Amino acid sequence: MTVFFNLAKIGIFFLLADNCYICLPGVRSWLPHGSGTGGKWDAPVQNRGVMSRKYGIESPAVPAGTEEMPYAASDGFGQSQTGSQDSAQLPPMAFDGIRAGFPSPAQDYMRPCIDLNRELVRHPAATFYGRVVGDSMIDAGVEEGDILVIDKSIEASEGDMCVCFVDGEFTLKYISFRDPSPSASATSAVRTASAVWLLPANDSYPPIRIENPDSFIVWGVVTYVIKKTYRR
Amino acid sequence: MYALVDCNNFFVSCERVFRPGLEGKAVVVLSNNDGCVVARSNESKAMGIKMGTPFYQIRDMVRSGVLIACSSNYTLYGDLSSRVMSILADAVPKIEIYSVDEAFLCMSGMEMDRIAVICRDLVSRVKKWVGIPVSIGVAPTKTLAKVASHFAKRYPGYRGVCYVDTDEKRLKALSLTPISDVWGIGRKLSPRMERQGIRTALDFAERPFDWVKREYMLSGVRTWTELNGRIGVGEELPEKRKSICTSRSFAEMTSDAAEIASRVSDFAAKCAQKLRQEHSAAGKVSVFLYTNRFRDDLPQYSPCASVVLPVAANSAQEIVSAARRGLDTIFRPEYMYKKAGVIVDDLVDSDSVQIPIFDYDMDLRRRQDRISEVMDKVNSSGRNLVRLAAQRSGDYTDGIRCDYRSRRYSTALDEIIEVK
Repeated sequence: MTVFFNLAKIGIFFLLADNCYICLPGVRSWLPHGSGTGGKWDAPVQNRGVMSRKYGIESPAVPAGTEEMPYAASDGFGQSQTGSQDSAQLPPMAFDGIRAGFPSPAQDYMRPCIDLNRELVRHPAATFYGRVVGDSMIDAGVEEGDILVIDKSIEASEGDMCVCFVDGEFTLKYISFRDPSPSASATSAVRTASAVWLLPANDSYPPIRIENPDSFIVWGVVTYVIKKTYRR
Repeated sequence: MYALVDCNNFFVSCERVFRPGLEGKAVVVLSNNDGCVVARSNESKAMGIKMGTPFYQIRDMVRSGVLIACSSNYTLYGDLSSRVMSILADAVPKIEIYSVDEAFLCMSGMEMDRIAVICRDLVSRVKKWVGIPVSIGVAPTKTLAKVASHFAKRYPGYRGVCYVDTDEKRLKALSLTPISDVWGIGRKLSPRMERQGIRTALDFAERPFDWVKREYMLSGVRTWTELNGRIGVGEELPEKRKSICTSRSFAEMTSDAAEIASRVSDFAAKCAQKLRQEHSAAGKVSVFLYTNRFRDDLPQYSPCASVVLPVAANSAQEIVSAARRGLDTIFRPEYMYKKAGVIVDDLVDSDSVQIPIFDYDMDLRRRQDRISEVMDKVNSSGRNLVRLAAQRSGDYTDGIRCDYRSRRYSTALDEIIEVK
């Protein structure tokens, strides 16, 4: 389908032959990478398909037929507003575009730029972001305003920093299945299945013991904290 | 075998992902402009709230806190939908996305055991990864898979997956399915079928082939074949759409000609933009107006006018001017209008537009195409920075009512959840 779109676009640009050089979006789709790198270059051309391929990075065998979604791309769903989905879009580079002159010696060594989406987001379909409010995790270096990368697909285990939903709000804490009080650890690390503690990283907050597991959700595990250091 | 994966109460479930406090409460999602109910949680279904109930009829319940209303947040729903779909696409070799909250998984050639493992895993994975509960129906045909998914959704005992994989189960399931619930029958055909004594899907499946063919032609035969366990609905090819509609209700009723004209221009320009995005051109532009049908005390008027274009077009200038011409023929100042819209149809591929031999200004056409292209590029940020003078400033959705809109938690960095 991508090939079809590209051909169609080339067709259009040939119709407008004398001005195709101004069509940067078109130039992109002529690049040989159009179908290989998670489809980022094709993003402006398609609608839903971009997402399924973007999220389908782990399995290279995203089936044909998922690329063009059959339902109507009406306003909200289409997300086809150009550029809105291809956040990691890079400027078009002339990999193959140089027609005259000496070929670039770097050509064989070209690698895609570092893509933080790829590095920091292991499960794109399950990754959401959160903003830190308050200072309950200050001793872990997590301050108000930091951005949390939250992966919902991970099963929380002892000591993970988690976003939990308790008493009607999201809270950021270390999760623990052991009683943190000194007397309890002295006896033995009794691990009762129903007992969960949420441990802050700030001495002025007490650990929270979850009494009723039904009113408590581990919403996701924090995998990275993004902090802005530049002051402007 | 096909599996139909259907997200339970999808829009409500999307809202609950980021507001887990809504779990277990009666929630409804309202249509654009907070007009009527488009999605309900099980709790609000149990309260007797129907699809399409106008908002003013439930406003008191919302005020008193018995019911929680959410304005529709299609940006959020669209993002969560593509997350769900990508998980489904990773699990099987082939999927066919049927709507924002449904997809068929093609599982031909797989052992039943393996299908069962995949389906069970998908139910828990989609719930854990995205937070959306899904139901799965597995059957030899798509129509039966739909039937099975209804059972999976209705009875918790299935734990989200229902199989109609033997003839015995098929007959049992069909006998419990009202004919109006069958995919491809719907509300339009079911009254006629009920008059003919067909109450359940089984009644229909047991009619002889010749009778079905005579009474309901091809579409009936297709459904009948599918209900009898043989594939009648092939794989849907992603076709170009046959028409595109852009319409919105106004926040307040209006009879102001200039206001309505600029609204209609916005809708027409949006249609033109959608046409260009899918490389189509329209041969016909229609405009429609609605007065408020819930106000019996006011005179009602809902006209529609179509303008046939001599040459199929997709530039904002041509679509908007055609829409304005259409509007001029139907607009009457004595009515209070609540809603307007523009439909473009007779769509053709923009590369294969039939061009008349005489009287055609090819240069003008080229210039318009270039202008459109530049406009699209400038407007690619999603904001309407460059527009026709006939349009309003701002986005065409500005000014619509969304008093209970949740944040775009997953697509806008300044609207993400706050964690204490």
